[in-house]
Amino acid sequence: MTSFLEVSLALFDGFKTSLSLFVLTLLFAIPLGLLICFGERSKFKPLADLIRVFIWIIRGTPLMLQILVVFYVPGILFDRPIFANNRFLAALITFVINYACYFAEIYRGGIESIPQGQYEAGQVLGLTNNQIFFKIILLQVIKRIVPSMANEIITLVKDTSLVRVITVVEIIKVAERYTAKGLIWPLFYTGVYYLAFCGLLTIFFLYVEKKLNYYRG
Amino acid sequence: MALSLGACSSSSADTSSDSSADVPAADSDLAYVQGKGNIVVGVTDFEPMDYIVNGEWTGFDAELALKVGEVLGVDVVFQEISWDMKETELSGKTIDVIWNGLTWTEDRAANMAMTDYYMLNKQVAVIRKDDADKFVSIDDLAGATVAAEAGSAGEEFIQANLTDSTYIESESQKYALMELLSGNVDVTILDYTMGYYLVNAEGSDFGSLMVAENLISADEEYYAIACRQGSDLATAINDCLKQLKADGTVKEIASKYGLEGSIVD
Repeated sequence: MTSFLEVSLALFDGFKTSLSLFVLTLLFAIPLGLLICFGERSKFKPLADLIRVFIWIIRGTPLMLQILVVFYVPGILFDRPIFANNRFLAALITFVINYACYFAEIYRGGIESIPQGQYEAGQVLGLTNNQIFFKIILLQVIKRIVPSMANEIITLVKDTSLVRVITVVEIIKVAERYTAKGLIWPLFYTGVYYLAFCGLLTIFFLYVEKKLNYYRG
Repeated sequence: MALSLGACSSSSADTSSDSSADVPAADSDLAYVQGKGNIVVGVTDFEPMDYIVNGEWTGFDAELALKVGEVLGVDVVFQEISWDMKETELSGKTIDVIWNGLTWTEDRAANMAMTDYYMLNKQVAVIRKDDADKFVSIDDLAGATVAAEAGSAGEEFIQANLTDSTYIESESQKYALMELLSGNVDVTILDYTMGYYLVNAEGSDFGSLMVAENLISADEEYYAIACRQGSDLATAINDCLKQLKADGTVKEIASKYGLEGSIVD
């Protein structure tokens, strides 16, 4: 019979794929989200509108559907199966775009929550717009958006399980291989991995919030 | 993991040449496959047809596919797919053939280029052992809840023959069995090969289930390999299979998996 240790190790192997997707998505989506946010706040109206429509599409359709579109459409419509040999990449691109849109909205909320008076104060002091944004506004924004970002990031951990629709072998897919051999408990045991990792993230974000809470000493 | 990585490294160079090789060979799937040097075989984890041992795909279908690849002069790359996405994978060229105990049906033959039959199969009903007295004949299934894999031959059987039952779609045959095990449905209809295997496998959690031999009498079915619509690959594979049958290779592989009785001549 398959041992507990063997299953744990195999599942951990699958969880490494989930984690790579998690880490790489954050790595690219966090800066991309800022770009999208800037685009949405752009004074050039067509660009701002275009980005709003894009965000509407991305937030208005299921992530699972987006994974299917990114992976299958190049081959079906254009006869170019570009992701045929790298399903993970198709998943990553979808996740980065999807999460960047959510992050952009969180950034926008953060930026717009800063009182107009601070921009005016900066102008009075003779700072350029860039200086005002990066030296005064951004740091406060970061502080304010931590709880919302933490929320979204913890959702991301669990959303990685969606990539099994294009057969990226993440932890649940590994567990299903045991089910196919008549062993069911590994499927439910995967929850422990997600719980443990989300627990670590929760502790991390509490620490970050505390560290950033310097005004209240 | 090792497999998909292998697929990456062997074909990252190919993807660029694909586009150029693709254009003149657009009408010949065989030329497309030989041009890129590998045939991507779409499989699921389905003992005893395709399954993983120590990171390598094995099973009756997998071994046979490797032999056919040898004859065609191309590498065989196994790609695990989600079964209800098989047609999408095939037409999107993310796989080149579906070779995974695929039952021949008219619908499939209308939408894909199917090879000749190579193996016998049928749909069987699985029930909980406790219900052995409750479900004896097909009439007992009126009003029962029945599960099968979405898009499977079992589903077709239910829709054609069990119109008085409630049909529950499952994501895969194993989830259809879990529906049964957890008491959500009364009966699961699935492939003979997998049904027998999972119910009887040593230490299987599905041991409390049983194959109800005479509950349904499904017609005999045959496994075939599916290629893209209009593909000449199907003919090429047929020729390979004939050759491998003639020299006894097919029989030899089948006997390793206890399937020699199911081979089609």
